[in-house]
Amino acid sequence: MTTTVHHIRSEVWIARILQGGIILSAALMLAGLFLLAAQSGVIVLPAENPSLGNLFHSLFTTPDSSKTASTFMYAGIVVLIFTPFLRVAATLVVFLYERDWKYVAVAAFVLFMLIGEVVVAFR
Amino acid sequence: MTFESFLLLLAGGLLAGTMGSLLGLGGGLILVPFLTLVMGLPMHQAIATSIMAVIATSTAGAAMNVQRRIVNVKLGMVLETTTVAGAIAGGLTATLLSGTTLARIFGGLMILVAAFMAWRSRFHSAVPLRGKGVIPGVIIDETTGETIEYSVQRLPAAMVVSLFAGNISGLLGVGGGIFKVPTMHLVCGMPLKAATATSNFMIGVTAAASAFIYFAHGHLNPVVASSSCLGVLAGSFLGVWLSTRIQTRALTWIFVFILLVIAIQLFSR
Repeated sequence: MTTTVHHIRSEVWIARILQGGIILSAALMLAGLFLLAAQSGVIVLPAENPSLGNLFHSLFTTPDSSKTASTFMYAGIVVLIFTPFLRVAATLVVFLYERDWKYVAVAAFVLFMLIGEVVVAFR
Repeated sequence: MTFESFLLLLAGGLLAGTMGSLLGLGGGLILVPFLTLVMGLPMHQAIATSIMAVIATSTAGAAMNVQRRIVNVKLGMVLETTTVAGAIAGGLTATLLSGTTLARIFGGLMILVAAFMAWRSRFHSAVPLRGKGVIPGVIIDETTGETIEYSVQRLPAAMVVSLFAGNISGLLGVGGGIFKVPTMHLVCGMPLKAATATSNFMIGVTAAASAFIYFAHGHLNPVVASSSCLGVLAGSFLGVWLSTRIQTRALTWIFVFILLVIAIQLFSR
């Protein structure tokens, strides 16, 4: 009974992470598009996509007026890409809690490959 | 970027999401040709945008399916070991290939998918394999309330198909469910509903595995990606709503024809 309740809770938890990620990313993308429409409607994109560090630094530290439409949209994109990463991490935690070591190893391996991809991509 | 372009991107995303959801495909098979042939975007940018749309629709669908308890999370995680490896390799390969080469490979994929869809219209009546397997699963049929227990068989075969599907996903920006679902259903003996939900659960991670490669290479235009993602997301919900109201069998054959026409267009670019 306890195991069943725990299973349901872990599934609800994973579902909430996925829902949260999709809502936040859609909100950021929408905010960016509205900001773009409210401004001139012309967007000047940086020559290269921003690094992850610069993106979040400018999103959270610069004053509201200087946040550009593209910053919001890039942030929405990054949140959306990281949502499946977070889902894998959450699944890893669930398997750890259940002491299911075989699947802890499987989930850790998948997470390791995903993190490896980020490192290789931005190298 | 004009306001008309933005509306066109939103409409294209809506169409791709609706058709993808109605026909049990990701939106990528429609979105990539739309972005290249209609919007005139470079192939790499179209693939990167499609990858974002695949993550969005998979994440939204997986959130619902996990709560409905029809996803086999353990099988999904095992298959992600090969599908993620395939996707990373596919993403890295795509950065080395020209847009023309990618367009031709995409055209080839469309012909393959058209053949698969023609075949798939029959396999719903096929009886999946039964027997002792490695990863157990249970789903409850929501229409009858019946509990269906199953056990996943021939896991190595599913892992190989997942590696291929992941590679195609990273290389061309499609989900790869068209290959995984029949394998999980017919080869691994999973109920079709569980196979579809588990494949959808994996697709987001598969797409995310190559997304940062495209991002770091500057192939993600934020306006194009945001507009298309929101359109595809809305379209996927519209497709679910429409699927209970229209007959999708005839639609399948129309779509097979459209896929072949688009494939010829991509080959002749």
